[in-house]
Amino acid sequence: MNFYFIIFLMLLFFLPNCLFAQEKFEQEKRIAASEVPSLARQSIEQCSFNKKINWYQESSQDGTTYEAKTKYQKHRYSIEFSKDGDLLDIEKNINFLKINATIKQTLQKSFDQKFKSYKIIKTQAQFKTSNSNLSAKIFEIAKKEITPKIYEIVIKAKEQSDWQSYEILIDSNGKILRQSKIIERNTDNLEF
Amino acid sequence: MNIKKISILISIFLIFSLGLTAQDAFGFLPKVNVSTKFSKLKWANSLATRHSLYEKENEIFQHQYVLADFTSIVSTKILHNKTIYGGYMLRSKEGEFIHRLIQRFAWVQRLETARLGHRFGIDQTFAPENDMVFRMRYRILLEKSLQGEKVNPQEFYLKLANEYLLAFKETAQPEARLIANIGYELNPRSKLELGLDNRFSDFTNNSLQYKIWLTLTWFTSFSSSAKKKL
Repeated sequence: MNFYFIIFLMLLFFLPNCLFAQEKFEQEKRIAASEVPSLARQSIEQCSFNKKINWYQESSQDGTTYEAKTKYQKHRYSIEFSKDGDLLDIEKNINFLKINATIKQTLQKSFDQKFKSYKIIKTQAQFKTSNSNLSAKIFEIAKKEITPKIYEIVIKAKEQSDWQSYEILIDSNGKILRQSKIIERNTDNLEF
Repeated sequence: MNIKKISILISIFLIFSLGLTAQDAFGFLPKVNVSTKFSKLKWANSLATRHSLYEKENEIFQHQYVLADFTSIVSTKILHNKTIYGGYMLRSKEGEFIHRLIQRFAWVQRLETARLGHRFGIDQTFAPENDMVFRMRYRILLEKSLQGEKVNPQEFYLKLANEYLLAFKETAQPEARLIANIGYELNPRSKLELGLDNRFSDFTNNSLQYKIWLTLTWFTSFSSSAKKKL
């Protein structure tokens, strides 16, 4: 087989791909604390987390937000701020099995009706507060003194024939507020 | 990419490159992998060529085209993170054609800040005037973003893999592979990976064979895009 013919074939593969490359995506990138709005940075500093804080900038069609991620008392926390540094929400990673039994049953019933099969990938409890109250709120959340108003659940489910990932927002009664499809990263480089 | 990550990367590549002075052969492996999806089936085709650049036996640096592999694999998910594969490879080497049937099972685990892939496989190779060779292989692979928790378009990542191959043939030796790649996600459909594939064989009877391949792989897909990532 001619070597140059193979190179030509590779180029043929490459051309159509360039035509598909023009798209806009939601993107999260790691940033230094110095790049974060000072109001957001100060709010996090007041919390006196023991573990390292990782800062991320998230850009999407909806705008830019900043997220502080850390671990506190064995749970992962993600604290999101607006581009001006105003606190948007606090998310705490929790075990799905540990959420309120009634909500869990309502959800499981709903998922059983919607999907042929599903697997819970990630569960987060969502809380709201103000910048000035962040430290106290984190303390209350860690002590489990408050119940979240919203849960964000990521599931992988089989609706018809193929598996698809979904992000589902539910309220404290188990009612689904929003369900959006997550289009996952291609896994070709891990499989082939 | 921060200084710490760059230092880790350089260290990994230095460790891998230490063997460059002691290898039995050195070469180049360019590969392109194109996949597309039809309903629940994924069809991936790849074209890989092998080029020898140095052989200890002759002690000369010379480019020599060795072989070309064309592989076509169909896969389907049996569970949310588990996939089975069936495929065929055609190898063109020194004017002869070698045929290989491939069966695989892969399992991808999503960790908090990385992806871990396991791949188990068996294959059967049919070469002219030779008996069929049956092989078993297992590969473990870790992909880690170098610029955040997840890999985004136009970001770099690190991919490390370890693979073991066992051929059921009298003269065949088991082979172990250590692979380190730097990857770049061009866009959600396309990734480019540059790395070193270290292959060790014949380690059972004190005559270790050590070959290093510089790999350049382009993965592209015509079916998926990404708006939000897990």
